Amino acid sequence: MNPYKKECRFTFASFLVVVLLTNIYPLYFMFPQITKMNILGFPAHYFLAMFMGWVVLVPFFWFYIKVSENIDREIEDSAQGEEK
Amino acid sequence: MRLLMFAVLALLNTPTLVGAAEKAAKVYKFEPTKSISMFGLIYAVIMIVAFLYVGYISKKKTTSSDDYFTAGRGFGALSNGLAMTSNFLSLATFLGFTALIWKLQFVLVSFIMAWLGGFTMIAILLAPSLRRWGKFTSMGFIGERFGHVAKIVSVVCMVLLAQLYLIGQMKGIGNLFQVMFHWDYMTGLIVGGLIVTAYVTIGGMYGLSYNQTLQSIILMIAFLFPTIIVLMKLGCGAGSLLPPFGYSKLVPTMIEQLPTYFDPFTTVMGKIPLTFKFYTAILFTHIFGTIGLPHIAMRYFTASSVREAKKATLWGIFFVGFIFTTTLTIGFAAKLYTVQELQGVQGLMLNPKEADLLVLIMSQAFTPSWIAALPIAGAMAAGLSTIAGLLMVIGTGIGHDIYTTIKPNASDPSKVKMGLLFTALGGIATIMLALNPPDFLLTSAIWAYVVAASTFTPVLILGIWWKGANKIGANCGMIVGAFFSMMLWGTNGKLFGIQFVNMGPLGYLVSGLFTASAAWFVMIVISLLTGGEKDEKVRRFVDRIHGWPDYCEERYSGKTFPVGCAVVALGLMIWSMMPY
Repeated sequence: MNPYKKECRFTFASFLVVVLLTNIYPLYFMFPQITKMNILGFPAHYFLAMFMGWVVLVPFFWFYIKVSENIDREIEDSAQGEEK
Repeated sequence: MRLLMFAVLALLNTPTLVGAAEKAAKVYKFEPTKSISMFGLIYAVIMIVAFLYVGYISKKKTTSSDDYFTAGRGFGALSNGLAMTSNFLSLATFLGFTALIWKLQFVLVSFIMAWLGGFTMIAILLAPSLRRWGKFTSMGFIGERFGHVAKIVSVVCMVLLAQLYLIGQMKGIGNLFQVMFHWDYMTGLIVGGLIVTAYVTIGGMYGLSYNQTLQSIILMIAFLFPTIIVLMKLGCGAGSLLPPFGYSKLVPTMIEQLPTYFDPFTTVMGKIPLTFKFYTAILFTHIFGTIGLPHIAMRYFTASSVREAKKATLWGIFFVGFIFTTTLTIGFAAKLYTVQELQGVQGLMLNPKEADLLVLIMSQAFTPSWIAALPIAGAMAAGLSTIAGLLMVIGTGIGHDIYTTIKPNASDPSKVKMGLLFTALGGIATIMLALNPPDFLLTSAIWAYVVAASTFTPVLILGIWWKGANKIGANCGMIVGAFFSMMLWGTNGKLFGIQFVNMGPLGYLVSGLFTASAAWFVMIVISLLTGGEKDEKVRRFVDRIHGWPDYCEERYSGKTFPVGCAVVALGLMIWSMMPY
């Protein structure tokens, strides 16, 4: 895949992942039973909102940096010689 | 943000929500002890001296406009991440969030996480390209991408948004001094306002950045230690050492005292239903509103490289998330304390106006004076850092972006002088406005978030990711977004006498869903109808800010992205007009 497609697709995918991690509310409506469950002593939906929205977001963004840096490098190295 | 909190509280504080029994009950009145006031004053004086000294030494490092407006673009990842943290967090985080948790309970988790999502999204969608572009502000970018008219429109929007926030922060500082030190409001406002104006004006972006880094550290210490002690005193044991997740032992007590606290389908103690549309509106207003705030994006211009900017965001996400989740902890503890101790044992009702002081109330109730005074320092640091960031964006927006439009060949020293002049004028104007803050201030702060999502965000995202976005589309999109934002808020969702958007409770969120979508839709459709951007210089510019060493006509030119966005925007507009 060329770096342009990689950049666009990875950015779009990252956008969706961040939206889903920081806005897990569809889960409450799709699986209302989740609000009756517990995780580590907290109501599951409360715990998951914080856990996904912060604890999971940090390593995800670290992963984003790694991949986007590789794509940036490919972009910089991709001089096509001849401009279209 | 603080104003946003107050505004929502004001909206909710309706006669229907305040029962007759509550009105009849004795009202709790917070009065800080003398020792807390004394320690608070000592901390405040030490901080003020430190901030002014940092501003003074930073002046020596400023030799060019690049230094003044972007701190020489040499800020490392950790320092910048800390500076981003205090720039993003304001008095709201310290005082207002706890008040909102007290009033709204669970839904605040969604508010907070959406804000954190918006903060992250800036780094994914905008920051790398803005940093590669390499100038000073979002408005400057809009000017280079869409022309001078768009730049002027965006600067006008920025000044309005920044002023609305600034007045609230300044007012908050004045109120803090008033409550804690028994100063009159005007003295607190003038002292706080002049200090921050002085150190930003003197030190420029260097002074601002170093001070924001310092303020972030103060903020975290001031929040963390009292929270740990409060949790320990409430019996959380070892869990107290990790405040974001350390209070599960108290959850059964909370459910027993207030069964609706964790209910995601209602708010205000089970009184108001929350729908799927409401949560979607939180997503759009808070995520897209945050992306559009120019003073947040401005920090990325100080990074030494794109990679350092991304790493700074990683630190920022960690610190901001830590403070946000700790806010949920202290908010939880405060709600439990008021329900169990104040109401249950002492028979006292907390006046909603006092809810902003819950962090201080909790600190005074559970910690020794020298710890209990720390939140005063934290609140000051949070307020001053945000004021400073906003003043800097005003100074740069007018003193650089507009000035260089009028005088393209202006010398470097004259740009610095203009930046300095307008930063100082912005500070003085804000103090003057905050001396007698207008009543409409609360609702206009909410409007500020909606306007950011409806003006800056579509123009910035489409300007970076779609070559076809053109001047007329951008100008129409910004004007339509700003117009609808103002109209719908001012008329509570009505347009020409017809109920246009069904607002529901906390209606500004649903109105933001409509106005932001309208701006996207108009900008895309008009750009497409007018043939898109044809200027090759501008099209090459888009390739360059993505890091491409060469130019390719086809890149960022496809129709799938803009048409897809327009369809989604249209769908959201129609949905927002349907009954809540």
